[in-house]
Amino acid sequence: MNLSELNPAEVGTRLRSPGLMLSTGPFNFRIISPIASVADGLRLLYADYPLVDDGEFVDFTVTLAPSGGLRRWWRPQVKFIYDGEHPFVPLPVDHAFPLLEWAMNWCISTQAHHFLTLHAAVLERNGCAVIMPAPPGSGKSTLCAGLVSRGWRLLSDELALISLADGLVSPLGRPVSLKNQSLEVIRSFVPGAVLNQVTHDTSKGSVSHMKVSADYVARLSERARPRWVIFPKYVPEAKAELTARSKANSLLELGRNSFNYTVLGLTGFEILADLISGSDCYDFRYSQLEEAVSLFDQLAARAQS
Amino acid sequence: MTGESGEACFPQAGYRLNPLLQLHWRPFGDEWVLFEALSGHTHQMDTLTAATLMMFGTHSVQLPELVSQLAEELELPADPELSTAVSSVLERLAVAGLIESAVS
Repeated sequence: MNLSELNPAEVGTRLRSPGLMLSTGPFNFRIISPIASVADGLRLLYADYPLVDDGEFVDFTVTLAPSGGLRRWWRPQVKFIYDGEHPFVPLPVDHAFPLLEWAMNWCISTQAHHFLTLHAAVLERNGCAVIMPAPPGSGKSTLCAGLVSRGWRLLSDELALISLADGLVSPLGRPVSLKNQSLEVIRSFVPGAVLNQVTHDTSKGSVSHMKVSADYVARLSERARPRWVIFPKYVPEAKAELTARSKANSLLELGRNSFNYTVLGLTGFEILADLISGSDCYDFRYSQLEEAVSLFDQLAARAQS
Repeated sequence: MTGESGEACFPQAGYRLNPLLQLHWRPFGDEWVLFEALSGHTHQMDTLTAATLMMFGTHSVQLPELVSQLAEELELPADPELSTAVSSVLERLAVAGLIESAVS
């Protein structure tokens, strides 16, 4: 049963208690919140995701609660609660939906040590996955959204989940996070894109999330083998260009972009080294999304031939 | 720090491998990545640095002996230039805690 099969009132009721239980790839979340924008965002962006049955194991329970006291009326706030703790500072209540996304990422990145977890986007074409680690502002999510709209399957726009057993990447398949100028870029590049309402004045600026195609959500159990590691960078006026980069240095950079490489010790090193051994590594500069997508398509076509 | 002979900073008793290390190597063409399991540190190395570290066994090594072995292994002339380069590599390896003065 998918979330879309619940009517809005039922979604709201479940979110209040005992929580709305959703599956996103390898993780089951219980989401508890009485805040309307959380319910609205979930119904819009997570309509195609499977609900978790009562009795199934829940990995993470995420509560987004309105602050009490005077904050109920004066500049109301939302707080993220996990295991009775408040990992983040409270935010204005209209930041509730992006806070939910950040909280879900936090749960995975701090606790899912049965994967090697990288701060990176992952997409797949013709059975080959590209891993794209990059710092904020590099144009990673914009590129990711552009590629997804042109046939690349989204595994994740934020967290690469690499199996410790066989090195395959598990899809997380959550909505793509977009911010500031990239919102207009994607609205223009993907006219049919479904975006949640924009939240302004967050720590990242104006943010929204783009819905993932139902076809990709239906393939959340389909893992992919890494084939490329590409470090993207948006450079104004730059022609789209892939440049081969050192594998040894790429390994170190992936380690720096990992949430738990140091936690995993030798296992993390072996997994990362195997990943790099089996992947071509590139730096990628681009300014025009159309050009960028075309170059990635050529890469995928070469791998298939 | 290093003189023309490349021996200015070389300890009299030579260097030895830090005996606590647990080294795991991965080659990538002419580069190497070393994971040291005790500290959890990962090091990127060129061929000369990797080969130098690999020359260390359980005993201490003196510079001339090391330069001679590396020259043979890497098919390079055993000249002052190599000696200077190796000396510099040794300093970096010592700073990283991978080798230590044999007298310590």
